[in-house]
Amino acid sequence: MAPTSESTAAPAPAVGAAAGARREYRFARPVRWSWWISGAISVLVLLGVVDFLVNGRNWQWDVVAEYLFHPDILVGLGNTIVLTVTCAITGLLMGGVVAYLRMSSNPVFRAIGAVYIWLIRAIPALVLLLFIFFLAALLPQIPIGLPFLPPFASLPTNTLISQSTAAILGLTLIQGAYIGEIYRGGILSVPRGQLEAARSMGMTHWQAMRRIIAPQSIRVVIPPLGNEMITLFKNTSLVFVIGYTELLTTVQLIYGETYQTIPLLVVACIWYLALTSIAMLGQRQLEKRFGKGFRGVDD
Amino acid sequence: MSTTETVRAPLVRARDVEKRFGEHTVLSGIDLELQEGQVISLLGPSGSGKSTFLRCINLLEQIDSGEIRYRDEVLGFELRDGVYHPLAEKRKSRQRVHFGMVFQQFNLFPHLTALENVCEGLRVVQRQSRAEAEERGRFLLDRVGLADKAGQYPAMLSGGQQQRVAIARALAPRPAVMLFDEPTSALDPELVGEVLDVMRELADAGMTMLIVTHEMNFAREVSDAVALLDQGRIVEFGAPEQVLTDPQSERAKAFVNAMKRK
Ligand SMILES: Nc1ncnc2c1ncn2[C@@H]1O[C@H](COP(=O)(O)OP(=O)(O)OP(=O)(O)O)[C@@H](O)[C@H]1O
Ligand SMILES: [Mg+2]
Repeated sequence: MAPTSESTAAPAPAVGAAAGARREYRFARPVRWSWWISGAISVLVLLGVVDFLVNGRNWQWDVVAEYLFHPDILVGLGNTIVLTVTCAITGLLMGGVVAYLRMSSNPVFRAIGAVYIWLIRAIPALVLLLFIFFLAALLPQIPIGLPFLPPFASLPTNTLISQSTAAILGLTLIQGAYIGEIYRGGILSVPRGQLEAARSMGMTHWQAMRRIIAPQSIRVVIPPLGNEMITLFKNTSLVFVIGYTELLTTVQLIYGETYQTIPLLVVACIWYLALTSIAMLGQRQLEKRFGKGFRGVDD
Repeated sequence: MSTTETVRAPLVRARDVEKRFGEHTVLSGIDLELQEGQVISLLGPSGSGKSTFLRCINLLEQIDSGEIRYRDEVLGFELRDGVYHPLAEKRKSRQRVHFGMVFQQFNLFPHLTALENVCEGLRVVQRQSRAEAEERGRFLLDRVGLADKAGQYPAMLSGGQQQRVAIARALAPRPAVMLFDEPTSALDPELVGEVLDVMRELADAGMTMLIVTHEMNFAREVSDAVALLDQGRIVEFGAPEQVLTDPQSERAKAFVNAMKRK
């Protein structure tokens, strides 16, 4: 209908070109020197590393092989996984609480959230874990009641805080602060108009959060959250200070007796490497799943 | 249109509405009545408070004085013993359902397809079944000429198509009043027509509409009345021909002349 329908007509012959004799266009392939050079250097470095790993005297690969599937190691590994998964779940929940506090319209909640994050950022993870574990020394009885008044009841701290509860509590508190900030960043990354559009059609705040804001923030939140989960997974090794026997503690116990320090650390690294790889694969799948509707917009 | 009743209570009535942002008074003394089936266009220079007024009606902003009613219902407040108590968010959400809002920036949900965008409110707010919601969704997409785009995500649609989906989405819960906030201002000129066509059809079908727009010709053509806003006040109100060709106040004259020059 429009006068622009020329393009749908048969291609007009190029001016001056003889019918049938089509010119061939040949394109040179660019030589990417930088690729070749960096590739060559990488191969050299890689060979060096392999040489170092294979021919180095003190790796003691036979010891590594002996301990890789050693029952004690597997128990420690199991404990690491259990602690990671537990703290991942509690940390994700705690993060929700923190984000809620930080974004609340209630100024008291906002202040609590801010102080909490400030403290967690300031206190080294190791110190926090020790504090929680030795809480019994500071506060032998946990009083239930109001400050400055005699408590209604009290619970002995030592029975409440074992190595595993201290580990879970400590890691949850730490993860919660960081994950809360990740959530907040995710929510803030969704344009304001989205919430307004959702509200304007009669959704309540929570409906809008759940149906409109959350699905859009997940996409933004997954990469830093994946990072945080892998950090958590390695942070579980910190709980050795309070004597929770996870993978690294087990390894240390063994080399404390056998003095085969290096091969046992290699064993631990191999397991950390394996589990991290699995976690990263999972993250890739999630990113694909929540990228719907955004492909072609920003990648 | 309505011959049985000549005088009806207005569908929306704003009285002496005032809105401030801090020290800055954005709306003051706004009086406006919107009858059922009527189309009113709001015109005025940038910053005159047009968007803010629509947002106050739809309770995205809370007014500081005055009153807005939908039929007999006070919007956003409960009147007890002569005092206006702000409503809880839940009840505001329920009142928002009377209005369908179309935004300048479309604000489609990017993670949902066109059809899902239209169905979302029906599913979540009206709690309709998927089948029920989709039937209405497809009907509305067809009505705005986008039946074949149901499965597309917003990022794959042109601006005009996105805005038509947004109109379908706003229509889905059968609002009594449609509010349009400069629905064509973010569009390339060649896409403006398709959106105005949809709005024209809506007006012809008897929808009650309040439209903020800079499209003078369109406003003249579809509106029953035009209100000219300046610095938060309605400086001129009347039939489109009168307001847009022969404005009375100096401010209105200046604005209409400026618009004509464009
Ligand atoms: N949330 C807010 N906080 C503070 N000031 C605001 C806010 N929203 C709007 N304003 C101010 O209120 C005034 C009116 O804004 P509004 O968006 O209603 O104007 P408008 O008539 O829609 O203009 P435009 O044609 O540019 O869309 C402007 O001065 C604007 O800066
Ligand atoms: Mg505006």
